[in-house]
Formats: sequence, C-alpha cells, structure tokens
Amino acid sequence: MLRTTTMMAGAVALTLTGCSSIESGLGPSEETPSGRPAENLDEPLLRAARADQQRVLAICLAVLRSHPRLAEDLEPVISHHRLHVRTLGGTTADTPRRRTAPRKPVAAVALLAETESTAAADRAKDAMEAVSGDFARVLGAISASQAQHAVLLRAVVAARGNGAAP
Amino acid sequence: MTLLPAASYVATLQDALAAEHASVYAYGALAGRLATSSPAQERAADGYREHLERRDALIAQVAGSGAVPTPAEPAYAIPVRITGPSSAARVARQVEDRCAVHYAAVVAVAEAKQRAFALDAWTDCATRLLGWDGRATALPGLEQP
Repeated sequence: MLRTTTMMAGAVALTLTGCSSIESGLGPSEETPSGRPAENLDEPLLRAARADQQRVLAICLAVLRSHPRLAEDLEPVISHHRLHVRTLGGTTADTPRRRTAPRKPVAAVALLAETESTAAADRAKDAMEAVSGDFARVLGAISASQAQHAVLLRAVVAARGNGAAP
Repeated sequence: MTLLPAASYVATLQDALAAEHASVYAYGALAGRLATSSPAQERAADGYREHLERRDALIAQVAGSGAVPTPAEPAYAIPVRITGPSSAARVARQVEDRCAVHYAAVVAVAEAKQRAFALDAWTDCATRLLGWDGRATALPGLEQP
C-alpha cells in the first residue's frame, strides 16, 4: 500500500450496499434551490438509466443464450449488469426477452463491446446531469464498469479474430 | 461577484491531488525498476504520463479555486518490493484502485458541470487497472478493493 497521512485522510471507507436501491442515496435531505427534493428531479433520469441498463443486460443474455461457449467471458459481465439494474432500483426479472444475437461468436462479442462502450458514455453523460451527487457517483461507477467491459470484450474479439480460439 | 467553490469540493480535489502525487511517484519507481523496454515498463511509463497529466490538471483546478495545491511528499513508501512485472502490477493496481475512489468522491460533491474531469479520470483508472491484471468489477471506485 502507498501511504501518506494525506492520502489516508482522504481514503474514506466507501462501501455500497450492493442490493439496495439507489433511491436511498437520493434522500429528501438533498434540497434543491427550488426546495424540491433531488429525488423527484432525478426520477426521470433514474428511470431512463434503469431501462437502458435492463436493455444492455438483455443483449448480454441474448448473446449468452445463442453462444453458451462464451459463458466464461460473459458471466462476470452479466453479474455486474444485474447489480447495475438492481442498484438503479430495477429488478432483473423485468428484463425484456426475445432478443436475437449475431450468429458468429466474434460478431456477437463485438456487438456487446460496442453496446458497453455506448452505455458507458451514456451513464457518464447522465452523471453530468444528475442533481444528486450521490446518484452521479453511482452512475459514474456503472459507467466505469462498462468501460472495463468494453476493453475486455474488445480483447476477446481481438483474440478470436486472430484465430486463437474457435 | 463570483462565488468560490464549496470547501468540500476543493477538499476532495486536494485529496485526489495527493493521491495523484503518490501515483506519479509510484509509476516513476516502477518504470525505473522494470526491465528496459519491457511491456511492463512501457505500461508503467504510460501510467506515469497519464497520472502526471491528471496531477497537473488537478493542480490547476485547485489553484483556480483560490486554494494552495497540496504539494507532493518528498518520497512515498512502496511496501511491495518491486522485483518484476507481477509485483509491479500489484503496486499499479493499488494506485488505480486508490485514485478511482478519490475521483468517485470528487464526482459526489462536484456541481454537475464540474464532474466531467473526474468521471473521465475515474474511467481511465478503472480501465488502466485491467492492463495490470486487475479484475473488472460492478462498481469500480465504490467497492473496497
């Protein structure tokens, strides 16, 4: 561990209760100039972000259904997405089904990488619009996670594209 | 009259700056100890440059808010003995995890229009971590590494 007193002072123990909804972070204590709680002002953003994350999860699940051999690469990603949806107050049971995936595994993973990349950018944009700082922080974390997914999935595409795996 | 930024925002910038000073030091040490022109050394050199840029940007932001930027310590203890790529990776992962936590803290207290820099830096930490055999997580910067 790198240690300085300054760094330690700033290293606040940060924990997030994984399964609880973000709404607890949008408490009424956060008043806006108009006097309305931030919770209400961020509600449309929260709803849209939740729906979009459910859509991303659905795409991942569709790819896994079509390409079960990608399970090793996709399962961690899918488990993160389930947590993203729950963190945004959604349930993973609401996830829309009936999605198809590209027939070639490489094309399917490339589609996912693209989807992750777009979702990462969209959540970062949401984080810049959120009224509540705590909500922005959660959106930022979801964005960073999806940026990680995009990097990992692009690496899978590169490895498979080079014929390293079927 | 221009209002000065809220104190807690500047405090989180100062904390992030202190973390970036340490990151620059750590990556410099890694680059110095890894084999010349090895992939790990090149990755460390990239990390050094990227953290240096973030550090300078933070110095400018803190100074712009009217505060005195936190100076670097003369040296930082790196408790892991750097003997090769795998010990270097351990140090680098700690650096990136730490910085991500600080940028998350900046985002939480920044005004909406001030969040872009920290969001961008946060994502960079999360993805650079992967280059050092770090694992992707659901909420990088919010979880205990």
